[in-house]
Amino acid sequence: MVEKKTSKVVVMVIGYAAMIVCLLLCVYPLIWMVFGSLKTTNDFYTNIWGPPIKFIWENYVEAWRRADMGRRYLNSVFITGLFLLINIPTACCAAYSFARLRFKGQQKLYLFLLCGIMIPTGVLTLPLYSTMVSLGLINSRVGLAITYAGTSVAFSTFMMRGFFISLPKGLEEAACIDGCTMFGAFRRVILPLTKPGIMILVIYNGLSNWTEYHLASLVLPSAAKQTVPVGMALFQANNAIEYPVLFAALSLATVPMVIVYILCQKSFISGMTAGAVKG
Amino acid sequence: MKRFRKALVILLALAMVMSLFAGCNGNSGNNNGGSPNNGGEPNSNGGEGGIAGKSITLITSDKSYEGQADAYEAAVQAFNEATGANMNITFQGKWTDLIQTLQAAKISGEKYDMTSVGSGNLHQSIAKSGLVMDITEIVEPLKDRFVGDSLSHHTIGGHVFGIPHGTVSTMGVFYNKTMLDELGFTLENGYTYEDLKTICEAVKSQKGITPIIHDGASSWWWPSWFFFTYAQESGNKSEAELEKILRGERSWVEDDIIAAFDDIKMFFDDGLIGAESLETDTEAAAANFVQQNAAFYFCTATNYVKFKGADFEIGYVAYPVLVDGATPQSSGGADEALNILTLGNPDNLDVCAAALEYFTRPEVAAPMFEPTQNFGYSIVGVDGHKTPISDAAFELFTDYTIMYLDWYWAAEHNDAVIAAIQGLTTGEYDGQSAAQYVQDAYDATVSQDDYTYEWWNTWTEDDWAAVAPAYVPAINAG
Amino acid sequence: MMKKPSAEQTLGGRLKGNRSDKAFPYLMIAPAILLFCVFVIYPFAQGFISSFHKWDGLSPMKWLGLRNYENIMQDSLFWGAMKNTFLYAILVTIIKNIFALLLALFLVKKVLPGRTLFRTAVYLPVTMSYVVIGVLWMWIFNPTFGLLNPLLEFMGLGGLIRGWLSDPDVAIYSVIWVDIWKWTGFHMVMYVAGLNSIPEDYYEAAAIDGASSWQRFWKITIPQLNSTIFTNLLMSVTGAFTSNYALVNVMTGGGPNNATEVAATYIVKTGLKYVNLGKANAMTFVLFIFTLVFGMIQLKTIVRDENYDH
Repeated sequence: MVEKKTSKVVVMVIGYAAMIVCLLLCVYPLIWMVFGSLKTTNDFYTNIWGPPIKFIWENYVEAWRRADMGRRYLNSVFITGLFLLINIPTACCAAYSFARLRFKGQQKLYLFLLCGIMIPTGVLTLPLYSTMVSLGLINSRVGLAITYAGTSVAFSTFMMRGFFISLPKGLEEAACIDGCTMFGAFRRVILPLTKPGIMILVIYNGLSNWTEYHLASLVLPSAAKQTVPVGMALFQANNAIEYPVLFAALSLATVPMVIVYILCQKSFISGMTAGAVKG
Repeated sequence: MKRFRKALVILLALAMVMSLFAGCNGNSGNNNGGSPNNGGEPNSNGGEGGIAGKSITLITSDKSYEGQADAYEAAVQAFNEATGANMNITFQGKWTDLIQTLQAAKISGEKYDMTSVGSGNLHQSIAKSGLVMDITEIVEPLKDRFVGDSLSHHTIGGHVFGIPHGTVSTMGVFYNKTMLDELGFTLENGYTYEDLKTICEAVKSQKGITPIIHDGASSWWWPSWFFFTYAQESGNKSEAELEKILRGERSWVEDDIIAAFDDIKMFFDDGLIGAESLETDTEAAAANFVQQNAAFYFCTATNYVKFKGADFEIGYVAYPVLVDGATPQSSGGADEALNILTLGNPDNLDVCAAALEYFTRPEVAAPMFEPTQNFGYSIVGVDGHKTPISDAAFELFTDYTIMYLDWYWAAEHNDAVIAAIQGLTTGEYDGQSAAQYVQDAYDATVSQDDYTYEWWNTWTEDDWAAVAPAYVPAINAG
Repeated sequence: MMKKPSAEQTLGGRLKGNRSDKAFPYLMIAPAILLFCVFVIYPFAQGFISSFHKWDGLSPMKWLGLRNYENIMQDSLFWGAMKNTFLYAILVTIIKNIFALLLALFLVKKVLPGRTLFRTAVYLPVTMSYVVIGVLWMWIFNPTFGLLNPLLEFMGLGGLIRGWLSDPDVAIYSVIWVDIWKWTGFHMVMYVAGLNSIPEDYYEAAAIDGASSWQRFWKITIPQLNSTIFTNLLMSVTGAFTSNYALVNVMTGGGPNNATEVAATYIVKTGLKYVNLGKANAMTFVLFIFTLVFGMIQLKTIVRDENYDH
């Protein structure tokens, strides 16, 4: 008994030590970025790791104004929101079908879809753009959102399928005593249990598309429709840009993602299936 | 009920999306102004009906300097008022991504009339793609408006593909004047390597720092070392010799090139510059210089803006003389330009030509350039932004600067030179093996990609006809 | 009592299913497959076709046949990049997943003060932009004013100091480290979700049977996590093959002297800098084949399709 307790304490101590190191490694960079954004140029280059000598809040005002953040935020939120609205139902339906149903050609179709995550996309921006032109999707925020949904569907389906598969078998039959339809079983029983998966999709896909630059810069050139990453890139391309102001702009771009993560976190903290199986 | 409502919302959203999708069809009005199509009366004689009423569009990269986009818009507006034309300007993408912007423009089918292509891109891919027009005859009357050699930076094989319009750049040596004064040294153009060595020794022993810093982690700057060492090792004939090499008339692996590479190594071997330069990017190098952890910063003049708030005096000089009797040439160029695209409607040529004339007037160009606060510009009569080093930098540009060598060679060759120099600095290569490395890369481009330096000599009559203007509009250069 | 569903009504039974039931699975996957074909397959096919041509994206394509592929076979830079990519993929996958799993195991404990703080903290690097990461880590590694070298000296490990980004032998490991630093948090989140979906009673039952923590871990946790592990591994490997352009580019640009060049950066360099889109698309296809092979290997060896047995 005593040994068990000691080993438990040891684990906790090591664990906590590791946590503290992680905390430093992970949180300090963010703090450093924010500090950097509040320094003068000279302070930025001379006082690299410490807090600002003087807090230059004006950098944020400057960044907001120069990068036209307000409009860019709105555009990015709209596009990412619409994208998620298409991506999540599409991926969930497809993943459910691949994971828990049986139909002819299932394996082959799934492998076909899986190829999507193995395609290196580095130079495929131009063919994709060309496809968008033929479909009339350029210069349109909606068009971009739809395209993002298209390029992310393989990965999203793959991820969600993993969640669907990990649910215990027979849940649909057990819960659907009154003979509900297949879609009903899906919607009422399975879907709520995969909320953690959906939240992860939101934060991961949301992140990738919030920060996507190449396609967005080609498809939405006009300033009125530009997204945040495009604004950031242009901001940075200016050789005379002052790094503190750039960091301020980058902080403004990063903060929403952190907030979304914190909000979504709760969903995958608590176990979801425990209750279902017991009942 | 709640779940049902949720599903309904999702379905409704999907329906909305699909209908929007169906609704938006090729709405490609991506200008900040009007449409790029010719709105005026068609002229069957090719534009002799006059400029008034015609629409043209210029597509260029984003102008991120404060107020520059507005200045461009204002200039375009003034042009429209003066001529009655309807010119529009579209800002899209980064300067370095201009090729992608033009590729996308081509795919989208937009008939842009003019653009602004950098000299590097022009030399390496844009000119030979047939995208920009051969405007040699059109801009003949404007020849004298450009500073120094800058028009030649957009002239290939005797054909003018663009006119310089914007900042000029040069590379040289920033130094901590206060520190040097303190140690009892002054620097003037024409100082030798031995002079530099003496100063560096003093800096090292009395200040305990590595004298020279270079932003090596921003690897695209490494070739600038080769530019200045080879300029001297070639007997100040680096451009001509390089052209011979690129034409395949001589090899890279010859004494002058090897000596140039060895010179670079010499700086490291003599301790004037150290390994930390390999890890230091442009921002960190600026930081080092401002913190007085380095006395010399070998880089482009435009980096001056990063030294804001430095509490010591800064000077800018040419590179040291390495070879007896050689001129310490720097590399630089007039990168930005105005070009006419072959994509546009031939009827618009007269408007384009008029625009070229209008925007190269010093009084018009000055407000367009001013937001960049550069030390010098390519239009005669437009003065650079005054800083303590701007005069020195401009003198460097006019008296000592030859065109960047990387505007001559292909991008693959450039990467090979970068890799070779990096190998030199880590001791992996010596002058000979570095030259051989570049030679191998050059041979690969020839054998695998059919690289030809003088592509303009391989062009057929049809090729030239495709980039020739339909007619030569008259320009009144005043 | 519950009426046992008839064969027709169960999802497994398709023998006499009515037409809408039969079509249901296909309807469910249709939007995904459609989007996929339009936005992934079609552009990829276009790219594949261009790989047989010489193309700069501006002038018309010129037919080259297999020449691009022949050039690639002889291109030592490409194979060097592939070698780096393999190394990158193996190291990153293994280390990321081990760290992530350990962190997740620790953070999933019922009572742990500061748990939320830790969970948020570890995820923060995922949200940071590549621009900031580039400057941050280049400055941490910087020999003059960086943080790493002074720290090593403080700990008495001064002998370990290297040119973190300038030494060709070390640079790639530095970049790999930054990748691990950035993405471990995300994999940890996946593992946390996966761990939380394992029903408590499994553990309770095993504890009653006298199983030790170690046995519980291997017999319950790992098997139950199977699909999560597979997802994370596949993500890591394919990510290392196809999506590490941004990180490597911002840290070293592929240098010094190609020491950190990976397939993704070389492809983008060939396509965008050298404007040789035909060759770049050919390399894309070759890389795709490699990734596919590795993906299939993982699929066959790791996944246990529980849902498919009847």
